[in-house]
Amino acid sequence: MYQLLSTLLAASLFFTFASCNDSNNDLPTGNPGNPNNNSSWLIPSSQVFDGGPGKDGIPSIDAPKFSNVSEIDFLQPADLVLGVKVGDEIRAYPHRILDWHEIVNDEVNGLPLAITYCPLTGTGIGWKRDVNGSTTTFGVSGLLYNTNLIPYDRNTNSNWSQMLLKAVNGPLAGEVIETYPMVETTWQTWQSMYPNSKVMNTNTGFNRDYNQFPYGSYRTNHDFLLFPVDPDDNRLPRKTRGLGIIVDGIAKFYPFDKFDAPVAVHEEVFQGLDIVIVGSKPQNFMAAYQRRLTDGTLLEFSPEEQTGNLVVMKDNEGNEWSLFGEAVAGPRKGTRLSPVQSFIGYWFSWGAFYPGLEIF
Amino acid sequence: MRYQTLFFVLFACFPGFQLAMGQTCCSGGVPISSNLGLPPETKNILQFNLNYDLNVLHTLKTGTRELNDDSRTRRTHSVLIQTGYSFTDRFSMDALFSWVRQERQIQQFGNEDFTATEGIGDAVFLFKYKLFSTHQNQTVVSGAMGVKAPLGKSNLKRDDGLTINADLQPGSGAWDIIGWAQVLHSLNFRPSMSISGTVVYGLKGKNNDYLGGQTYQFGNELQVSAAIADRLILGKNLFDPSVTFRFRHVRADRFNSEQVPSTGGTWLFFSPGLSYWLSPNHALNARADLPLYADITGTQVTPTFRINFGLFVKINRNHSGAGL
Repeated sequence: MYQLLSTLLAASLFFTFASCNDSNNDLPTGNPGNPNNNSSWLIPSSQVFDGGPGKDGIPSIDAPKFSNVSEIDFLQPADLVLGVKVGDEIRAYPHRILDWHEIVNDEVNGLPLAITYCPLTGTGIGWKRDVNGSTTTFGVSGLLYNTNLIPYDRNTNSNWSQMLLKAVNGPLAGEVIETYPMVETTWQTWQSMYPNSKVMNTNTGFNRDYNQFPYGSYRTNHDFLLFPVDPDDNRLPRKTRGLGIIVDGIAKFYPFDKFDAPVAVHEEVFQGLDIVIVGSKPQNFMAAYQRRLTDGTLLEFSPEEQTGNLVVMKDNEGNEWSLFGEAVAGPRKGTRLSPVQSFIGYWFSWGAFYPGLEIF
Repeated sequence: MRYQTLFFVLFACFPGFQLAMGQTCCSGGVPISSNLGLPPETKNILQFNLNYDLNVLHTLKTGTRELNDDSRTRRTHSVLIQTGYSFTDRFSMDALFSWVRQERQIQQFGNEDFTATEGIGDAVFLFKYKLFSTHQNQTVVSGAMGVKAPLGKSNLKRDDGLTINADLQPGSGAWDIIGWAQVLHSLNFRPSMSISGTVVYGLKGKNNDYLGGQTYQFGNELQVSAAIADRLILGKNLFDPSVTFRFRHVRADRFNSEQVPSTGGTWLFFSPGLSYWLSPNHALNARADLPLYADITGTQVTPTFRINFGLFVKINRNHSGAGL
């Protein structure tokens, strides 16, 4: 019996030893999610994680279908949408769909755009798909940096950081993406502002339950992260939503709570730039624009307090401006304010990507 | 009595426990928990089981609804070595060691993405006690307690050095407590036919070294099986066909104590099996797991089928000259 016990013990020790010995041979077989197989990253690779679904395990939408606002029946008033306006073409992309696909490769009024949305950081950003001299599409790499989406471009297989707005791995490492301004608001607000727009519908080519949010209580549970972030800035509760702006690489965060009015307008000089922030917590939108026009005129803005109106602010010249920063009435009708690099997201992600950033 | 005491002392004193409530295992945990428990035997019987197990997850579901999407496949190949020894007519010990290869394949947009890890998996040590048995073991009730030891690696990285998530690791990185109980009864009208019921409960521990100091905990797992088996003689050949229905309920995983979305669920499997006896002490086994029902949490790639082949060897050390 003791011989047999010894055998069992020896077997146990062998497996333990073999397991420990394996530490020098840490690498598994198989290739990584990205065939460029380039292990050189411009960000700390120790903070880049394989999220689990794998490359294209979360499929991008490459042929989005759209319906009129009046035909949409799957959205609730409080549901969020991302909106874009290119020329006269106005489109909305519901979070309910983006939560499951994260990237929509679209062409809006002739402009190739990728609508990139990360449900874990709550950040939606419009990326121009003309990159390095050619038009590409973007896919979901399955990787996360600071729990934020890392898209890859299908022309070169380079990996890009959504919030850093640049390629961080692969042949295009260091290349900065050109963004296109988008707005984010609720379906209720969008319907009233843009009743004649087109809305991406659930005919995505994929079978998903768009009535279900895939991440449980993630949006409101401040304790709940799926991957570590560094630094984890606790000056605000993690899931505090707000608008972050970036000027010359310096960021500032504007929480929704500071815009708790039908419409609020805030003007300031940030990094030498005259900017205006227009926002509304009740209507759930925020946007940032430059106050100075290309002709040198510096406008002074005030809020348009009537809710659900296409017009969100007025200026000292009598112009009326939409959420897209476009003069829809007044002497400068048709003029668009120059955007400030900005997007809405959860506080923890802004704190992680732009350590120590100022909070409004 | 001496062995009863030993049983409890061994269990109570097993080192390294993290007594944590929690659940599921990675798909590598399924072969381990589904292969636990060698047949009850009398004193001085040594048993070996060598198995190959393939668990394929290719069915995308949300709740009970199957989604029309076959782009993702998860395969877990396991080689399982299980050995057990009966110290007395009542007290025995099983040890199960595993080697695991995890594969993830995505076929989307005309491209294929493939990731795999492999290595020594976790091991289980089970201390079994025959609580009750009737004359000639017509009815046997056994119970067991044990641990799953984290021999397998849980921090493997991809070729490019990026850390892979918990589900694709060959090991769990956590000590688990395992409870096991079985009732086995031979039928009066046909003594070669037996029915059995088995319950396995895995109380999962925490991996506190996940993604550089984070905590990951698979969800607790309950499996209840009901089986019927018989012995058939075809010419000079002995076959043991069996049919098992297996209920499996797994709670959601937890990351830093927060529930991980789209983990956990409830499954019912139908498992036909067949053993062919090469000799009174050697048998070849084959078994399949086919899901009859699944109600999963959120949206997951869920089991499509599982197959298992193995060789069983029994050595009776009461007889001189016994051996392989």
